[in-house]
Amino acid sequence: MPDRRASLVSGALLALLLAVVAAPLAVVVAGSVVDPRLLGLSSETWIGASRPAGWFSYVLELYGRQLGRSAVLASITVALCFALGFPAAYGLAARRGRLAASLRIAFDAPLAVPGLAVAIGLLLAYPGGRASGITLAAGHLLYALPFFVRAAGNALSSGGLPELEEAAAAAGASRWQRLRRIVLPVARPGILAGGLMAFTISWGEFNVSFLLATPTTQTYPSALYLTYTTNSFPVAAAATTLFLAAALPALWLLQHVAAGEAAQFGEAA
Amino acid sequence: MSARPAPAPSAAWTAPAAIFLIAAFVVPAGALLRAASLGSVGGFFAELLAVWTQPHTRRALGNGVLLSAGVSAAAMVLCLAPARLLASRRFRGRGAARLLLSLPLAFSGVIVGFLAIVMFGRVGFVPALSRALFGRPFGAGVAYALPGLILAYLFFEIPRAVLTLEAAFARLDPEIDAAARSLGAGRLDRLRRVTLPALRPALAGTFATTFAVSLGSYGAALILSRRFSVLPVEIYQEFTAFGNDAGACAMAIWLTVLSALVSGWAAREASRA
Repeated sequence: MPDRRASLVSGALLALLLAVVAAPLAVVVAGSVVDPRLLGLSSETWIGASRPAGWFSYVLELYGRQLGRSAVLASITVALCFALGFPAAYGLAARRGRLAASLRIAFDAPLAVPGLAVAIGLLLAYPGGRASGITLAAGHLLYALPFFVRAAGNALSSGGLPELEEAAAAAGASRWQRLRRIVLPVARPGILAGGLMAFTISWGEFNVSFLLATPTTQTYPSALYLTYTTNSFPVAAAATTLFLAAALPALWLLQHVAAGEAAQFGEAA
Repeated sequence: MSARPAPAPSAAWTAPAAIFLIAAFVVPAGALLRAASLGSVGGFFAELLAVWTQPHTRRALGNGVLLSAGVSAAAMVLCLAPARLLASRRFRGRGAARLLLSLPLAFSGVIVGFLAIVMFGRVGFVPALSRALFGRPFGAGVAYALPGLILAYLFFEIPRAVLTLEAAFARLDPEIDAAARSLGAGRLDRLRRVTLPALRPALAGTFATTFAVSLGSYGAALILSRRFSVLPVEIYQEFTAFGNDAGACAMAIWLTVLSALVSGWAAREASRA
């Protein structure tokens, strides 16, 4: 039966893709906790016996600041996404005209521009914003905001919101009451999905950050570049495992709160 | 109190985001254009032209475009059938498979470059395994040559391609395929005449996304390639090491134009559907 053969081929291809993604990750995670000589990857003396936390404590000593900074910056990015992106999605939700169409395109526009171009532009336009990290946060927000606006917008346009708001208004609810009791609950799944995407984008962002960061604002992906170019394999593997340890739960949650939204995330910069 | 309809939220709600966009996107774009025009005696267009006339930047630009286009096309072909499977079947481990495939979305090119070295470096896992099994270190050092860069970019683009194509397959109307089948259309005919035309906008969108991401990413090339340079690496070096702002900006403008052209083409395909 040709259908069956076709799905066997698809299954085999899927298994191949999964193996291609899983294999290097498995080697790296294993390399951070077992003797890398077992993997044939390093002749480094294994310190697992003398340091109970293995290489992780060493990585935290070296790059703990960058790790903390990335966590803070990702949280700020999520908060700013909500502050700017939720009103934008609400204002666009029921709108069909020319203006709304151009605004939607404008909000997506940064995704079509390479991060390095954005970084150079920000640096030239605001030379003083580098030390404080303001331009760095702006760069992260530029790439996270489109996903947040889309996710919140999808949630707002799928819940029969205009009818609900009309009914509440007819019952005498003020704009503020409607916003709090109706609009926000309807938007909640989108806000959650958009927030998780914003976190993940900021957590892994390198293209903008590498140029915009100073030694005092350097983020974890740039620290990873440092460890790859200067440290031995077990240290680099442990550093990468720490990176995964935050990315994996965020993506897992994203799959569970909004599997449909996760697909759009394919466009992350 | 008399009932009144709720007024639709005004467009003014978009103002905070719009103001941010102007300050963080439009103004910097202006600064970029201005810096490109302040460089050589010939001004803006001379600087833009120089990107094409200087051999090393022309090569880096060509390398990046060819690599990005080739890898994007390859990722699309590789991912079509698996994406369809993920969209149409409910099987055990489907959630785990999608989670695993979405994981590299959070990676920068730097991590992907490191993974390539871990697998195919001079003391990579694959050569070590192959030496243990067959006595010969197959694939040692591949990571640092062009095949390694291609593998790294593929690793980067496969998740994007699979997930966006899966969403597209999920939106397809199965009735149309069933109708074509009952009219006697064969498998290949249906794929060529029904499925692929219906997927056209999604295919264009997937290609544009993977192309733009590949073209703008430089972490993998920074880590891996010694001889094979791509444009963002050149931009980074011109800007930071040589202080050539105008040249770096001119290259960044070309990179943006190419990326925006492909995105615009995909957006037109999508709106036509």
